[in-house]
Amino acid sequence: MSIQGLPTFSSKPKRAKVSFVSRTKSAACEERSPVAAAKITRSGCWESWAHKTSAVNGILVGCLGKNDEAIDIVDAVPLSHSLIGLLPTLEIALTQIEEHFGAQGLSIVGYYHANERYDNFELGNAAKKIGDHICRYFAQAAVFLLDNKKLETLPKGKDRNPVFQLYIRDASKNWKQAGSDGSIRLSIKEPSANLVLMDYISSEKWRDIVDFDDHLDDISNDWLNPDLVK
Amino acid sequence: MVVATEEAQLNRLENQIDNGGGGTWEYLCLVRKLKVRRSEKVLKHGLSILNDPKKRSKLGGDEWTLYEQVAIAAMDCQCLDIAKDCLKALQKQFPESTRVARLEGMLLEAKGCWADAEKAYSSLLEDNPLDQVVHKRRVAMAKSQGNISGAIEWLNKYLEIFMADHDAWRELGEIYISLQMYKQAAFCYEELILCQPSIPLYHLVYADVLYTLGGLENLQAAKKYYASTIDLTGGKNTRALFGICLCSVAIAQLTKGRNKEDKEVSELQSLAAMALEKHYKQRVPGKLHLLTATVKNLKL
Repeated sequence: MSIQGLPTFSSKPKRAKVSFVSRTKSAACEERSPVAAAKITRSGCWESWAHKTSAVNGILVGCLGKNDEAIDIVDAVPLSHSLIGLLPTLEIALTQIEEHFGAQGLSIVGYYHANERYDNFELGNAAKKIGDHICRYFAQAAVFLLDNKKLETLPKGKDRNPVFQLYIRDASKNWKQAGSDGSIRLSIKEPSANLVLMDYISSEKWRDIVDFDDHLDDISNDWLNPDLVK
Repeated sequence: MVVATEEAQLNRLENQIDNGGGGTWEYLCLVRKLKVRRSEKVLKHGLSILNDPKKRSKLGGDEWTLYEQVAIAAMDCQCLDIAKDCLKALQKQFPESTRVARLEGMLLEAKGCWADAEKAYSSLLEDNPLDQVVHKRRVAMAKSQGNISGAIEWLNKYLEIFMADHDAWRELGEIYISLQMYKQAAFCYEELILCQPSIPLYHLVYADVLYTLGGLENLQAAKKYYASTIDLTGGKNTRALFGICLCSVAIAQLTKGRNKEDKEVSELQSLAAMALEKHYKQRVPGKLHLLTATVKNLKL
């Protein structure tokens, strides 16, 4: 069932209400790379695009990289586009995601979130709480907050940088934006990720994306989205 | 609120008109009736009618309803020039209309001119303090500006007057959930269930809220509401079936060692698990192994 709320109007172009998730990829996961790269490229952004008027979120899947120094994110599963603050969907999804990806040697390593409003750049409490929940699965879990403004400018420039903010939990278990002190570095190994993203947006592939909410509404909807990126 | 059959009909019509088939007016009427937000499609197909004088004249009096619908869709898609043009046509036809004045307020909102929109709405409310749409626009404006506590305040004031407005209770419930104010959210869904006890969605979300709140009493109540959702949906609601399993496990963890309710708990959980397995086997056998693992994990 769909849910209607009060239509609110953003003062910015609707298209810019979407953001982008990128990911790193390690040498060990290269055989999966082309599909994984595009799959994650689309996940947070497309889910956001498919549900422009609500917050969306999803789970990041990956593994520890070489020498345990890096965390490689190789896939993403879109989770919800409504009532994000409630536990049941999250718990069921995490169990199934763990089960499915565990068989491939991957685990849950992070979480992405896109805010409802275009100009909201804060990591809200709901996102932080879910991040805390994910940390029970993986202590070094990261949270990615999608950045709408960066996506808005993407078609105009040739920016290859990830269009999101990265948050890490510090020693006192507070979520802090990473990167300013240089201690955490985020890199994208797929240089054309942003181009792929823009191409997929213009071809409206985002219309076919299925998140876990859609799966629970109708179990024949596949939250793995196997046909979305070929 | 849209049920699955109506949504299927809407999607079917949407596909049809996207592929050049007829049924545009039927689609636009259905969108209005169901109050769904399909602004890009409405804008595209509504404009195709409005820009064609023959098609427009066939509508008769409905032409103005279409102008209004397209204006709102245009605002939602940030095509403010189109919205302005529609508004001009409406202003010409209905010079002193409150309904058109509301649209002018919405256009100011879409432009981000919050202070001007607020003035417009205040003046409309002076003339008619019981204008529900304008009251709700104020809430929407507060939300747009990120003033969630303001939105809550306005919504609560609105509900003191219009306490039968289900959409408003749902909006308030959703806002509370987004702020993790689950007790307050529960209150909203309780109101909804009292007013419309046969709508399974309210039972389901209420159960989800109670589960999220936690604690033995809340979990036991959540299980009851998941059960009533299953009852109201003929056993087809996947979320409710999963909900029974989740509640049973959580209750079992909290009541370790106590014998009371053990048999009853496990029977309901088994039935729910069996129903889930049956559904997955029938419709997505490829995912059955994941479901079996989930159910197994939940039994630990």
